[in-house]
Amino acid sequence: MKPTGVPVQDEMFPEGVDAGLMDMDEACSSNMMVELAASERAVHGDFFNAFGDLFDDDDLS
Amino acid sequence: MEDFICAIKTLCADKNNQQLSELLNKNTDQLLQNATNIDQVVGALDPEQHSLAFLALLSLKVTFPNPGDFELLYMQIQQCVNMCPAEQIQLLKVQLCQLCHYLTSQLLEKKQPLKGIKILAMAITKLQTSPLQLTSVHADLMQLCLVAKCFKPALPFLEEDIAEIIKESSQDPPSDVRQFLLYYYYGGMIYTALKNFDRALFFYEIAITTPASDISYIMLNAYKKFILVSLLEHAKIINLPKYTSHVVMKYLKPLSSPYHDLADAYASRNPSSVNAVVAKNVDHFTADTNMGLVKQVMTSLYKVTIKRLTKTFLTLSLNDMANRVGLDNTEEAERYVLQMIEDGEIYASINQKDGMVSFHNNPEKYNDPRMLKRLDDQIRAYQSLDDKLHSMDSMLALNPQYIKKTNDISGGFDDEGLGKMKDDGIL
Repeated sequence: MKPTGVPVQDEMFPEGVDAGLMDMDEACSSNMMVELAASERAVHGDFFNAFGDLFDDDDLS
Repeated sequence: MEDFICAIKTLCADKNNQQLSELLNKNTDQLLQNATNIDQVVGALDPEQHSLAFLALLSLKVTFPNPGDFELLYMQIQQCVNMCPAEQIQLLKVQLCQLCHYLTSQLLEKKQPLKGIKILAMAITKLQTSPLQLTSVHADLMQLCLVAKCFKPALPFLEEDIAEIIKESSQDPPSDVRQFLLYYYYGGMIYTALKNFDRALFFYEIAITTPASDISYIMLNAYKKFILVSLLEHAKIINLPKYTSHVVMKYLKPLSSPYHDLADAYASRNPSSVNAVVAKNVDHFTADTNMGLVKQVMTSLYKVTIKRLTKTFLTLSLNDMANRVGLDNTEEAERYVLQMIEDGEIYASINQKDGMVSFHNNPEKYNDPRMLKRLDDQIRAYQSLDDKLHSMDSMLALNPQYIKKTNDISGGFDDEGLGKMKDDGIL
């Protein structure tokens, strides 16, 4: 096939491969500072998370 | 008491589960008087022969405010899980899950997490009819593995791609949701600790994208780790799928602002900016027990910059590299380069005489048997995933509730899935 100079579009993803992904900035309003603790809509506040820092590589040395 | 034990044994031998249940319910008041009564009955039963009664009585015992000697109870639960046949356990799933939750909480309290790992792993396999099923005990097992810092026993369960959730109780759905989120959050943590960042991101993503109308602290913590692991794996925050609940996204970002500030500084590729953000938010990161990951992110920035240099230069002096990357001296630059060569992140050699680093192309030719086997394994894995999806699609298409709902929505027109099923001759 001859190159036409026009960018080739992926037939599987006509809207681009990022079409199914969410733009984080678009999804969140930057000035919306909500205090979760004061919200009634927060759940699982008491879940177990006391594992310490499991990812500190300095601990290994 | 002896008559009661005899009656249990007879009904178990006759496999008369209905009457056994009635008998146990009728004598609950007497049994509830103290744990010793239950120990007496349980001690006279064989967990293999009288498994239903054994399990039911133990699940009653753990509801007591004072269930007696823990070592005895631990031994009884161990016997129950190891010896009760799986088909009997299937009849009393709720009770076994209760036992496992109780055991987990007690072992955590007594700081003996290792003692529960083998029992819970066995309990899960007996609760499941397929390894693709998720039980509420999965989260308990992950929790014990994390506390014990013993991750290997969790991996066979984490490596299965869950396709079904065993519903523990219809009366208490929030508990199922909590256990579901915990499984994926804890699973993500295990993979993060093992530096399997790609799989960790998958687990965190499932926790974050679970449909929600309320914000869960589990999701929030998963999101914070998702950002850090995303920086480690992709050097940027990867986007979440469109189907992520908007209520989740609306609240998560403002509540994770130090993490977003870190990602913004990271994008500038300037170590000083990253250090400044970390110094400013060190208390926040430490309180979240994420400081270890943040340190890894800081280190990875140097590596990302070195990788970029390999695309521009064929050779570079260690001194020049240290200056360009922002490292303190040539020794540090050498240490980073050697580590990256060892990890297979770059292909390079260092000439010790003149302190020059030469960058090479990837020597992999993708034509040896090892690479072909890897390719073959990947193709098989995708084929198996495709088969799974087809099978789930077929099951969904035959689900009466789904058929009714799609008929209601489409006014009698078949959707694509059902149409295909008809073409295939299944409907």
